[in-house]
Amino acid sequence: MWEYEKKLQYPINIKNTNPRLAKFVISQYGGPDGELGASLRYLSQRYTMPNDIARATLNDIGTEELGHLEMVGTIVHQLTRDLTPEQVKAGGFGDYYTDHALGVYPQSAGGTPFSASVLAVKGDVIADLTEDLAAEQKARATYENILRLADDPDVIEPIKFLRAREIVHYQRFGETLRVVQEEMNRKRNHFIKKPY
Amino acid sequence: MNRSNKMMLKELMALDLKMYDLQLFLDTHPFESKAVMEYNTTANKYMSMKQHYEKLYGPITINDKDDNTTPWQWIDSPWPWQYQNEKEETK
Amino acid sequence: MENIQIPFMPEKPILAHAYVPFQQWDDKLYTPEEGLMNGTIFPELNQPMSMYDWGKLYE
Repeated sequence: MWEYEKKLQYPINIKNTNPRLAKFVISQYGGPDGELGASLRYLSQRYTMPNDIARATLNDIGTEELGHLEMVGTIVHQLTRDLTPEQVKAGGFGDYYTDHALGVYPQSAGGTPFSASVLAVKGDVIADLTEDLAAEQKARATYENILRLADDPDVIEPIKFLRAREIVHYQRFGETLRVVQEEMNRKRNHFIKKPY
Repeated sequence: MNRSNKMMLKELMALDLKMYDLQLFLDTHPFESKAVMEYNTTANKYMSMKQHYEKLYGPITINDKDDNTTPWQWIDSPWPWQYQNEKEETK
Repeated sequence: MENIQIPFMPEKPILAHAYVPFQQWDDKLYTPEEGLMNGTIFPELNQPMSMYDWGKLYE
């Protein structure tokens, strides 16, 4: 069950609003490779993981991604706080504002609302872990796209942090896969040795 | 949020990140005793810094507190997503 | 849980299987402050964008 800590994983204090940038960053909130999809994917896959190492890894990375969801939501919120209608229009933010005003809504940069179809829970450990490895690379790539579009150091620093975490997650999913492969090897060798 | 609040919070974040990174490492390396020792040492520092911080600035977690007073501090700003204007000193 | 020693890379890799190297413990860690800045406490996992920049594949 989840406990809440009243602090972000990394400091976020964005002095200047920027609705244009907010529309890009929001993709890591509700987009195809964003943190909502990541947390839901890992926390859903954990139920059918075959050993303690896999269960712990899926659980703990899924939990960390919820903290990242909070960070991305915070960035979007601070980039759009107190915008006047003039600023909204000038920032190309009018279509989002029409449906959500200055609320933080889970959608992609292109405006597609979040859907579970961005993730897979196959119930097969190799497929699920391979899906997770891909997810982390896609998240990393998306953060790199955002970094190429951002010019505000207040936004760049937390985004760089989030990108770095994806690389660590990739490593842990890779290690979990190694452990599963090793266990499968042993089981296979055991059965091969069994006399019939 | 004043400067010393921000600085202390950043130190807590740094220790917390070290712990979380070690936790994920240990989840796939459960027999790495050096990592366990490093985790415990860091957790010890974190816990005392957290206690010190909370005494000054209010609770970060609430389910481990039995010394709450009225009014209920948990609701107090700033919440983590709120922008802290450098000029305003709320705490 | 049994202590299965996982090597850095497998001795007998199998076709159609993907392998990520298994991190080995190193006493050299970042300080907590460096760790927060870099997004990890492990120097080996600090991989800047240039590592993933494939550049122009087709000129």
